[in-house]
Amino acid sequence: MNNRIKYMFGLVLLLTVVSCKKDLIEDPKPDETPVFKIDGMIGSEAFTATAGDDGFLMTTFIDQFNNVDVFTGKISNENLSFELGFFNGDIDMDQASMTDAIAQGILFANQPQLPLLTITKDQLPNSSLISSINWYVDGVNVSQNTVSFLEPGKFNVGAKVNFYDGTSATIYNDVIVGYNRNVNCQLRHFLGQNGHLQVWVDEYSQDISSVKWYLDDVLVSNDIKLDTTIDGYGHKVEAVITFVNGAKRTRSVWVDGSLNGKFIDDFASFEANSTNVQWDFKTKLTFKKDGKTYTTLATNNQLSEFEVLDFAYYSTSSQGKPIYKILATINCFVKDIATNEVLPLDATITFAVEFK
Amino acid sequence: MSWTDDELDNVFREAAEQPVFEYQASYFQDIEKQLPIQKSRKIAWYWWTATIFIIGFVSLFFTKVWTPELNGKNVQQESVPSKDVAVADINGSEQKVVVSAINTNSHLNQNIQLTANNTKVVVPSNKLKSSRVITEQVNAVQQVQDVQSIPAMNTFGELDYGADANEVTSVPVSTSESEAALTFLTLSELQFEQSDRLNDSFRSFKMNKNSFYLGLNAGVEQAWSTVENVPSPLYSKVSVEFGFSRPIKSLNFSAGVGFEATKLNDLRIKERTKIYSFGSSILENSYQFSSIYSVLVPIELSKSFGRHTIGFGAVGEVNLFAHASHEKSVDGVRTMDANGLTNVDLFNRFGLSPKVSYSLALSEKLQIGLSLQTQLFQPLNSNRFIGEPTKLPISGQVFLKRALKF
Repeated sequence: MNNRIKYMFGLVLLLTVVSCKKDLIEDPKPDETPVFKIDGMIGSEAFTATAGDDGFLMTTFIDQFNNVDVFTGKISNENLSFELGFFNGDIDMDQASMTDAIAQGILFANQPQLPLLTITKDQLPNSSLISSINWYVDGVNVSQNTVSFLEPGKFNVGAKVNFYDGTSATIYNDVIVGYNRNVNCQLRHFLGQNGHLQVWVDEYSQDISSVKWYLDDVLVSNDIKLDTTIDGYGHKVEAVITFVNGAKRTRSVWVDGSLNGKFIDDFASFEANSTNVQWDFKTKLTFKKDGKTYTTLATNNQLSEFEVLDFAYYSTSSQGKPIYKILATINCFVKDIATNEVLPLDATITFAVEFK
Repeated sequence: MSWTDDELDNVFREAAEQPVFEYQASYFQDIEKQLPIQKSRKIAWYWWTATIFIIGFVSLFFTKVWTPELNGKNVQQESVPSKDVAVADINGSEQKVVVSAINTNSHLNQNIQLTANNTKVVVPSNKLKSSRVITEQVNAVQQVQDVQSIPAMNTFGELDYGADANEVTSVPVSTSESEAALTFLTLSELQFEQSDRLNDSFRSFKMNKNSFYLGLNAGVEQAWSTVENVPSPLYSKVSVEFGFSRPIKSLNFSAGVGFEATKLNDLRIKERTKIYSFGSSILENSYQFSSIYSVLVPIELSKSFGRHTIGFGAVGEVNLFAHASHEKSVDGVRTMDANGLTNVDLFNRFGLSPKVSYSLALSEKLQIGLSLQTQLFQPLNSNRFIGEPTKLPISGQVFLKRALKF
């Protein structure tokens, strides 16, 4: 009897162990197919690049071109680089739908041959009191009296206005050229006797949602129109204007409290006179190979094709930005920036671009 | 405006934290989704403990001290310091003498109780069925004579002639150095011949009768895969089996079922997968198999020549599960390290190994032997293993068989 108990005990123990849950041996994983790659021809020379092979890496980042976001992807190694960037659009809006624009089709951005906008001292209404104007663009003193904008962008333009009486004043305004502006407006002011100051937004094409008024960098009003009293010589009035369509602009004027006409008008309103060139959601391509750099910006690509075959979300970048995968065919021209040689470039790309 | 050191530090810190491109781990998110959740298995120690326990459990059957009947004697030994040997006198009556017998299987003195009849045949007194046995104390001289006349007892040679029972010191008459130097096998052989000559039903070799048996096997086997220019390791294996044995004419047929553990050395799978994303990563997936466990179905036809037995048979195998460690790494960075029981999909589920064996009966219940077998079916069922599969891997084992009585 004791033996039977022993054998039964051993059998139960064996069955217990045998019936334990067991892990599965995973099936072998075959090598995956590349995700991002380009194949094409430049001139008569073929090129190919596959992210993950031969040292090629696909990278995405948001570049800046004249303070405008350029959503960029680049596949490159030591010898070859293929970079594709999409300029942001509706840059006077807080939110821009880049993905919708790309899905609708892509055009190439071309470098303007003439200045998009020129502002001169004489365009100011009180130019007779102004001896000179020092123009600053993005903090850099670029010219005196006249400033020109050759490339599209959103520029922070500063005007240091020197009056004949030796006094001077400086204000800054954002100037958007080469991109679509969803609203055009001008800040106007009226200074009455006893320092009664009225400032308002004029020539606006869209309804105003709200305005924040700052007097000498102090928020003084949220009304549509600023109605206040000032004294002394100069005061900076700044308006942060939000329009119903979502556009948002900031404009500044310099007010002469002494009523001597030494004010600085809203010179940013001259952007309405800029050439109608729009780089919104357009693309630029930069190709580097064997030490040569080619770009589409310096070439006329109005008839070139950028056909998007597929456009879908892929992943999220380390900065939390969405990354989209674009499958497209490209037929365009590129110019060697050193020799000005223009070559056709045809490529099929599976590319990643990071958006906001 | 001049910047303070802190402001400059902040500028560089922010710039360093927001590089234009940084190959962040988040790029591997898709890869990580494909990876199983890392989990550590704690079943290994449990399994090995169970295995050792099973082996130990079975090993108890091969030790006399644990079997129930001997265990009962041990209890008796504890209660009675000296043991009685019942020896039949000339008149046919039985007398009880005190001797201290020697355990032939060890150097431990162990008292046993024997009863002798008037033909000087010694049988264990607990086998005597007569309730009329009368025993009484005799002196040491008589005791020596009686014992010397028993060949089996002579072979034990080292008998303590019970001087401690009645404080009479007696020198064994026929104890010689050659007898004392008898080897273990010689002792066993003599014991077996004694049993055979006496035609004692209790001493006859039970492997040749209808009986159950318990076997313990241990040995080595050729590695199942070999790598060129790398010495092949040997796999060690141990198994326990339980079966039935019955004579068929002059032969003996036995069949049973067993459980085998094979320790696999250097049996590995190492696979590399290239995973593309913004770049590429190398996913390494490796398994290191440490052991495999099987159910055995051994059958054997054997022929005995005295104490010697030659057997031919086959062992069917059913692989149940294996134990392996699993490691994963991406570009050399370990992402998973686990071990535990796995299935045997990569192995042949079934196996068949013809075998030849030779065994030597140590006693009426115990056999020791050697077996040689080869696996007809290649154990590996996948080309994922490193190395070339070994054809007909050969294994050699030592086994012990013990007849059981229910």
